[in-house]
Amino acid sequence: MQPRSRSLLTVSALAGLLMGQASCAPRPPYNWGSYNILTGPIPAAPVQVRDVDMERKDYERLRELGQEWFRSGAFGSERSISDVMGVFQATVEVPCASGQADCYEKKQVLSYFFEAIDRLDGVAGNLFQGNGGPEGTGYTNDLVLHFPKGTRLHGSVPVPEELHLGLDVEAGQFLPIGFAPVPAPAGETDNAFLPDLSTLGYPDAPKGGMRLRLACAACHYSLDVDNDGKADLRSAELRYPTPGSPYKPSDAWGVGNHDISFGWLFSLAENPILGAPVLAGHIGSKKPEDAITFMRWVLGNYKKRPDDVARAVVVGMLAQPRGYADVTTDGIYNPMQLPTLYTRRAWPANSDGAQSNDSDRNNTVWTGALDFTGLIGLCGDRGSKVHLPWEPPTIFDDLSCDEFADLMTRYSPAVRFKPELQKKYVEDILGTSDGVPGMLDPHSVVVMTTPTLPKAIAESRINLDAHRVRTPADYGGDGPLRGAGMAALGVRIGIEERYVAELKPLADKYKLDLDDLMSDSVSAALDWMDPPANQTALLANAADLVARGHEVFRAAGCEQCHRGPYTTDNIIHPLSADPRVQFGGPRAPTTAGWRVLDRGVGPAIDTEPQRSWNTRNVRRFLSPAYDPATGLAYRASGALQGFMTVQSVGYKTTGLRYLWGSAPYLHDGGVGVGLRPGSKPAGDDLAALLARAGGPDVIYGMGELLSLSEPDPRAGARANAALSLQALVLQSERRKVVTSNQQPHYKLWAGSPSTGGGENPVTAVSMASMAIAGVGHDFYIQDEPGGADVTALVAFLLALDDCPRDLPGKPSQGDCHTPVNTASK
Amino acid sequence: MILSLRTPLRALSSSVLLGLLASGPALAQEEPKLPVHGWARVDADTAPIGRRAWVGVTFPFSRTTALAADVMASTTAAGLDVGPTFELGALYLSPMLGAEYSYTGTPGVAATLLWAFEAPPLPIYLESWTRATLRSPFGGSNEIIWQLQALATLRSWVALGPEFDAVYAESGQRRLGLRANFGLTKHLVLGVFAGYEFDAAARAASIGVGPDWLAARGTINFTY
Repeated sequence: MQPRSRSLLTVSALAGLLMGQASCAPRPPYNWGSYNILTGPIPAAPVQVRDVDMERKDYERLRELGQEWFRSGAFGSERSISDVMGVFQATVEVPCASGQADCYEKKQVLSYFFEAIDRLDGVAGNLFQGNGGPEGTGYTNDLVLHFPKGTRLHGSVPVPEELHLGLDVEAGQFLPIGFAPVPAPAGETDNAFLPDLSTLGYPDAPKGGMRLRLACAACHYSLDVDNDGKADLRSAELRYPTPGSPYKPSDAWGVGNHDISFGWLFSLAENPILGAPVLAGHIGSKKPEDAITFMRWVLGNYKKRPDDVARAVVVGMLAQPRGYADVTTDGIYNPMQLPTLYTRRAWPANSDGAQSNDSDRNNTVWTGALDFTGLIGLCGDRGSKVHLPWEPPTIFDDLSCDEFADLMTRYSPAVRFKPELQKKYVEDILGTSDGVPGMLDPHSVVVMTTPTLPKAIAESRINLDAHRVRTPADYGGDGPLRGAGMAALGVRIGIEERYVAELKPLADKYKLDLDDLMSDSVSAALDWMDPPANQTALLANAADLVARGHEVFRAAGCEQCHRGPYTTDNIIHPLSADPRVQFGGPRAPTTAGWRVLDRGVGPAIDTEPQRSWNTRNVRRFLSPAYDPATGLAYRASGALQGFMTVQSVGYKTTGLRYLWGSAPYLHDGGVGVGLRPGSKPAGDDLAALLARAGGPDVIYGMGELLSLSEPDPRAGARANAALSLQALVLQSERRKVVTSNQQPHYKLWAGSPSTGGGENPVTAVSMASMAIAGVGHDFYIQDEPGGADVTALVAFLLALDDCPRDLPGKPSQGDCHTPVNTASK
Repeated sequence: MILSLRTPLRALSSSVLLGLLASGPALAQEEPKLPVHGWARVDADTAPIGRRAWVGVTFPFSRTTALAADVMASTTAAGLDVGPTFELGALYLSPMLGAEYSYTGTPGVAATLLWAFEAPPLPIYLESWTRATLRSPFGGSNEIIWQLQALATLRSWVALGPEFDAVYAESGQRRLGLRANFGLTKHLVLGVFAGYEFDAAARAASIGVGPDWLAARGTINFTY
């Protein structure tokens, strides 16, 4: 070979290596250049769907439909909510009016539920006659049910006289936000278990069986915009602004329900056992083995000792902290705060980035959370059929699909009413009767063959005949790369029949896939939202302080990850530098010192290791590699991608807008510092407030704050945004929070569940044992509480709202938001 | 000869340039600051080469590329190497060029290829070190050293498996044995190799203890 040829060959080989390296290398985040969030615009949502430009009127209608759907749509989840779960249909035992000891009357929760809503406007009996009207006073951010003293549930679980559900009710409504009535269809038989509201004694109540639909807004809307425990708005509907309120109705959207009690919401259902795999468990332990022991006890006893099992499950559920939601299907307590939904240019979706994009996120939530029965896809002979040897065991490993479906339905309202109905419900949930697992309306969804849905069902004759079978390739774009993640539970949302007439012309006009347009409309509604403006007196005339805080923010390196107008680089940063946490297996001790490990994705978040168990294999083997600048997938998932590329497992950089209203902080909501009820108010001097740190009127950690707030979340202790942010960025303050979270400060309302296994009953546990430790994200500045730097930094963080440059008391400097379509991908 | 020396040098410089170009946009986008990474290693061997020590450093260009450099000193020679490192998914690669000078007065030019493969949680770790040293133009003898280890990751603190070592030179060696790496701390690893020496000449030259067929090497590696 000639020297020139050799040289060419060598260069070619090296160039090939570089190209290979480039294709394997994670892509960099979007280049925001020298963007300054205090002077630059916040780009508005593009008037587009899936990169297709739309006429403004069409886009706005689509967005409105999405918002409407977010409040009330659910693809037919009402059958799962009413027939199987029996929401608010629990029976409580109320002391007899005679006062005789050990005498109890059974009463349905539903009557207390409607009584509480009826009472809101101060006029009894007008619940279905406008309930005070949309301009009346019948609204709340925390629906309170009133029970007689001594009321109990499942024989021994005490029910508070004032039970704070944390649900929001708009003025003039007879149901909380996110709940919608669905009258039983004419001609439907075997539905006498459904409540007939006309029997409750309210004039003009609808007659006949009524189902309730649970929609996204129940958890993601709040009339308490500023998170102070009091309603700021009487309605979240645009047509009903609240006079005198500094907030717009749309400010209630997507802020997250700060006070919702998932524990009570599920405990007041007729069939709480349904929630055992998600919301209950062995309190005080994060070990999968303990979760499995608890679940085995449930499975071993629910047929012969249903009351004991229901009681244990309810007691476990009631340990769920208010304002948090445990969405992990592992029988382990690891709740998270209900997240804010400012999704514009934020991808991939979910805090761990396990969902590739908005539509996959919508799909997973709608098929697995709005319809709990969709979780059948996780059972032992479907999604959990293959157990990866390096992963800890799960409660689904030996839970067969038949057994899981039986557990869900055996004590459902429908089956209690007529036991013969169980077979029908089980087959529906399994998907063997209608081809669609779970109980969503089969006409509103499509199916894909995935690990969670066997081909025999997905491609069954009934689905083929209904033209309901899809593959990722049918969706075009990066769909084929997203693969099974498009239908995490085997089902992908299509379009509700009632929206077809309006959406089909739009799909035709813009050549958009009708299947995904319903989901796109919701994504458009979420992307459109900007967080509410911070009105706090702490920021009045604080422009200089905020500007200096921005300098501190930059100097501390925060902007390297929290960058651009949406304060995120859209990169998933590793949960831990320890590969056993990230990947489930160790790295070999190596003498190849020249390798640089973990340099690619920034510092580790270092939070609780079990946070990675549920989705690390999704991230590695199902989620495609994505471009953080566009959110688009560029390399398919699969075993090769999972093993041969080191795709980080951890947390996606969180956007910081609306920090001012979303304390406590970190993904687990563990960093909370508050003022003791009755102490001096926060005032308008930020430095003075922060300097109160360590004083007797300051409470560290979420255990004590939650326990103090439980009797009345409206008046009790709450995490204060400024003090909590200080604890986020000052190591000395964080230590106090973490130490407190490790102490058994969190009082359990109903104690700990007894499974007859000789457990030591406990009345309080640490927040850390509930996986709310407040650890991780150990990036600090050097200062003292109330010092100049930390005060400035906290001021800057509090100012991150819809328009950070506009501060209270300072004239607006014009529209913050640039014209549409400038933020196009 | 000069041409054949310059050609890989050009290739190396081209690759470094390409690496810089490839990482150019990332730098422009104010990538998070990537840390400079250093390491030090000491080997003690029963072969005549005896003890060797390296001190190295890598300067990151981007998330997956870096410039690596090290200086080496042994009982017989000292030198330095420089080259890029790449991370191609589970494969780590570092081609380097260097120069060395033996204490007997003979200089040499060295080309080194380091690679490692690791895909957790697969419990497999592969590592190879190949170094070709050209001394003949300067009156010395050429040499190729190759060390390959294939370890099973048993725990985060121990990996165990076979290692093959070979030296192709006037006085060569071929060894096959067992290697264990022990993670003493997050930053400190102890490697131990013990094997069978196939080459009679190498056996004769062994400076170890015990039977002459026993080849052994101990390694301490420190990263920071």
